[in-house]
Amino acid sequence: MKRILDRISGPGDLKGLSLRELQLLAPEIRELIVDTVSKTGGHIASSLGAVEIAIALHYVFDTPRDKLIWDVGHQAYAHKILTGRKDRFHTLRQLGGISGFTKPSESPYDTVVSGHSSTSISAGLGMAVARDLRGEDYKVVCVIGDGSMTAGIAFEGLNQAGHLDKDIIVVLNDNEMSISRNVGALSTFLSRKITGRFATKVKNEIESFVESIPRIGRGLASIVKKAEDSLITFLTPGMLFEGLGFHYIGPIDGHDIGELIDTLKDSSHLKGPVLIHALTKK
Amino acid sequence: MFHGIGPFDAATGEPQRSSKLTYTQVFSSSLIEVAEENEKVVAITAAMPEGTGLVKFAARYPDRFFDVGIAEQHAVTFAAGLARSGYIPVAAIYSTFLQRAYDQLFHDVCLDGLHVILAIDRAGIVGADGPTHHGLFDISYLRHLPNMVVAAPKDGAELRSLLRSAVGYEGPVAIRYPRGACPDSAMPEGGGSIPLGRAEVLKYGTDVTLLAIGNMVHPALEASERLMNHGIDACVVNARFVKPLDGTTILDLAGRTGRLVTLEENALQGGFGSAVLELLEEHNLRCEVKRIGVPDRFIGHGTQAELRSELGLDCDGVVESVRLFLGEGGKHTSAAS
Repeated sequence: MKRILDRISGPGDLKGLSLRELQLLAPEIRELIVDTVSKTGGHIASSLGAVEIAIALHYVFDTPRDKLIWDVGHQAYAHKILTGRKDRFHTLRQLGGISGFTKPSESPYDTVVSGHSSTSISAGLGMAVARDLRGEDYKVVCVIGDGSMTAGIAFEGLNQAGHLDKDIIVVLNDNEMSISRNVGALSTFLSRKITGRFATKVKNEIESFVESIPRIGRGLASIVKKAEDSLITFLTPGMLFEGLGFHYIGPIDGHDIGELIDTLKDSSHLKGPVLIHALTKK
Repeated sequence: MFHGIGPFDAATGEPQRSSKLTYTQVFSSSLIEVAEENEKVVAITAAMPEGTGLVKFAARYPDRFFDVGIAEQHAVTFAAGLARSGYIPVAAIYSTFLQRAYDQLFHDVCLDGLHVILAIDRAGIVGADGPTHHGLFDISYLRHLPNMVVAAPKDGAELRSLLRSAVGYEGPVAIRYPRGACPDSAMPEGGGSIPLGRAEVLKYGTDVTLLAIGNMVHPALEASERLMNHGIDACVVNARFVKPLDGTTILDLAGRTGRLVTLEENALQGGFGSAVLELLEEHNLRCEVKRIGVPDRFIGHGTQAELRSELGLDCDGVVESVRLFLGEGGKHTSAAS
């Protein structure tokens, strides 16, 4: 059977695919990554976790006009495969081949050099400021892992982004992985075991409860929704990011392409900085 | 504004100001001038708008001014993002604080040769704040990075010219200048552009070449006058650039005088003098060399004048070092002379 991946020579080819096809594409990309990295070596887990995120981002946004900044480029293998480097992917990290990280001199889809962690928000904010100074309207989207989020510079970036209130989307790819076991209070704070799943459960219970009340007034529904939002914010890392001036959306399933696409589309209409908290597994 | 203050009148609270023009003041008005000419120029500070002289810029160009807070790493990577999008960011950061952003300079700026201008204030001996605040390592931690240009002006007028020139250069450019007064008597105006990597010969001489960078140029010049009284005819060169070095000029004069003294207000380890030694080695030029700079230890606090005197970085110290280097009589003693 012919693979869907064979029809993808650039992000434009994603636009015509159905949700089902996009979903089928993910395992094909994973297979190519595993197959290649088994021969070349490389950073496999973080890239495997970000396949659906990469597909959804290139599906929703108009890259390279919209700027996609992959924090630590080794999450970006799927991005490389989707942006015209599929046929050269076997040369990953080989002399004269494609880089294991994003590299602007390699592709217009790579916006920054990113071999070290935690720089994406700062660099993205610089691009967002430049965009606004020039009166342009492209989107700036940073994808950062939970491990990278523990570094100070990431918070320095969040701090100024919240202060300037610039339109910028940060996708937090929370796989609880990082390079080794994540340490520190932030990691506990982000931990979906304590917060995310519990919050989702509470949310579902409230929703089914509200839905079960017959002839509920619109006003009451919106009050319930608001109370529910603040509860969710309180129970999730949202509190932290809202405090920094971000709209917090999540936690969402970072492997559910449909949910990712809907969330990215919605958030691209929001004003100001947005943080999308996507939970992923390798 | 009361973060770090100098002496003040306890009765009135008025600061005891010196009437002398500072490098920071020259930078402040030069940057506005450059920003007027080029709308791509934007300014960044890490919570130091007063100290780095950006207050006037912020008032004049609020949309082009960014105070990122005490976040030097972010300041540099944010600058890289702006540079990548076609702007020319000038990040004004003290030498000692820029140390916090070394990885960002390497990874986010230099690796792709982005056109970020670093205005490095408080480079050299800062005085009363002491070892935590002296800016004695920036030449060493910048000059080994590929793509980086490292320059230092001899006075305010040259700072103005270098800043304007830097906007026209490509890639990352660091301009380092010290805390306090510059030698200029009045705010410099105009100022031509300086070709990248071009040194300036201030005085020709036959016995020794004094090759100075930044604020060591004037002490070298003064010392050369005093050395005449000791029968030493010194050539004085304002290097202007640590990188790229003006190899043609330096090798020519080193060859002619046979003896070279380098002068810098930076750690000797990996500093300007080291760069000159590397140049001589690369060209296999045999030449006696004496490096004057800051020794391999941390420097305490005191006034700038006291510390420079202690380290032999003032005119007296330079005269003494050069005389010792040249030996009795000071004249060339080799058979060739």
